[in-house]
Amino acid sequence: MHASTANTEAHNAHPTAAIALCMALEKAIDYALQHDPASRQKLVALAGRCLSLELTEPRLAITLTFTDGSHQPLLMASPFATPEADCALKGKSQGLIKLMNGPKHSLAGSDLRLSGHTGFLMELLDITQQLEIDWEAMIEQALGTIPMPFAAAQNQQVFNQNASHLLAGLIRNQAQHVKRLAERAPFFIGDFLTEEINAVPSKFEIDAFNSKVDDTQDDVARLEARLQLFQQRVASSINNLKPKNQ
Amino acid sequence: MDKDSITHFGFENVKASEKAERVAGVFHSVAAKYDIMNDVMSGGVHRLWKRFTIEAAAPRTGQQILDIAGGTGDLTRQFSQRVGPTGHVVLADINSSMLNVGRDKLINCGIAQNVTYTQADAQFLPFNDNSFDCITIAFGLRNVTDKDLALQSMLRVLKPGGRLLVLEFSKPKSKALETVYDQYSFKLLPLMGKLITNDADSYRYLAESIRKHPDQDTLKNMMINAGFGQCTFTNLTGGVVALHKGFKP
Repeated sequence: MHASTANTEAHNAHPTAAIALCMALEKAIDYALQHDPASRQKLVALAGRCLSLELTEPRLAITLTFTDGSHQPLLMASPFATPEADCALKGKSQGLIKLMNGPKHSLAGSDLRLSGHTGFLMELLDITQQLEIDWEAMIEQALGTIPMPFAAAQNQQVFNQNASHLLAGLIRNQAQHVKRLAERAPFFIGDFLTEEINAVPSKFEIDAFNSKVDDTQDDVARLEARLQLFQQRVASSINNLKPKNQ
Repeated sequence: MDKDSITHFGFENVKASEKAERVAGVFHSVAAKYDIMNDVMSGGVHRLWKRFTIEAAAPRTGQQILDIAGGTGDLTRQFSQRVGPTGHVVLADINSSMLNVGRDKLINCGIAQNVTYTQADAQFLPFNDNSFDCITIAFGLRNVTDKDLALQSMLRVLKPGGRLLVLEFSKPKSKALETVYDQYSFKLLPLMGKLITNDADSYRYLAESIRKHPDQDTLKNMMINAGFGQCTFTNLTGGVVALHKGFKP
């Protein structure tokens, strides 16, 4: 890196990518919050406050500033860290992802360092975890209210629905199906490996094998004991056969 | 620079007095389709470079901003929102066609209350000393005949502590990127210019003027020589573009 480059290049490995991320973040959050008015209202209450992130792996600096959303996006992202932030978080990117996805707002063991107003960050994490985006409405907004063609309608109830709702329902059903599959996958995989392709032995076979190993171990132990006894008896007989005057 | 001294217009040597006229010809020609061409030529990345400039400028509510060579108003539009009704943005461009396109575009976006338009030469800025908190010049400095004179003029109208940001094409950091970039700008760029604006020559000039523009370190030294302090630069997209920043002491 050139010695004379500005601070941003020291903080962002790729300044162009960092600004692209900022712009994408702004757009995505603005769009998502259109479908979650409650969270939007909570974020409006944070107008004027800002959070600075200085992350490593990859090296990335972003400052998130909240506005009232009237003239500018509700969240404005900048690829520059600011010392004036209400709250600053430094550490690995992975730590931040864990913090956002984790059930508890704890920095313990995450290698993230926090400075400034802790309450602001906790408030923000609470809001992000309570996000309830009406994604069916998002699909409907994207597709519009397209009526189902008569031929495709199976009955009057389906006919009255529009394509967006049907698509949302289809996605929801598929998501539930995938979730059920994920829950049952360990059993399926076990059966497939043992019964179908005999790649691994079943639990019954392993237990039988273990039992046989135990029996063999016992047999060996008994044989060893008998050999020791036999050895002692031989030694004793040899001693008895020796002349007493020697 | 004397008006009879020789300067460059792309790879061509011309008299200093002729350069402004010829540059004006280029921009009169491309003004109407300037935005479309920018998107096509850069694949939309010019929006990222400009947004980066806005963030680096860090405009605050109530500040006075001068957007030199502001052309079609991409930076002015964002500055106008950032400085709010108590602030003010001056969109300056030497070329009347570009200025007209920019003014129409901004008015159509509903931006009027805190923006004024001035046809001005960057070498002789028609403003009082110490007038602006921030000055930007995006993709304009390479077209200026006497860059040193322009930098001195910018320093004069900047308030003490104010910052200048120069966004301009520069020298790619890697040889491989430079090779690809050369092929792109000397072969594809004039072709795209021909197809979209029916003007291959203007876009050939664009590619040539980029090569004649000072590289990162040279421009930084020019800013220091003009009197700017704390001069730094940031390479964007591998150095294809660089953002220079300096402060008036």
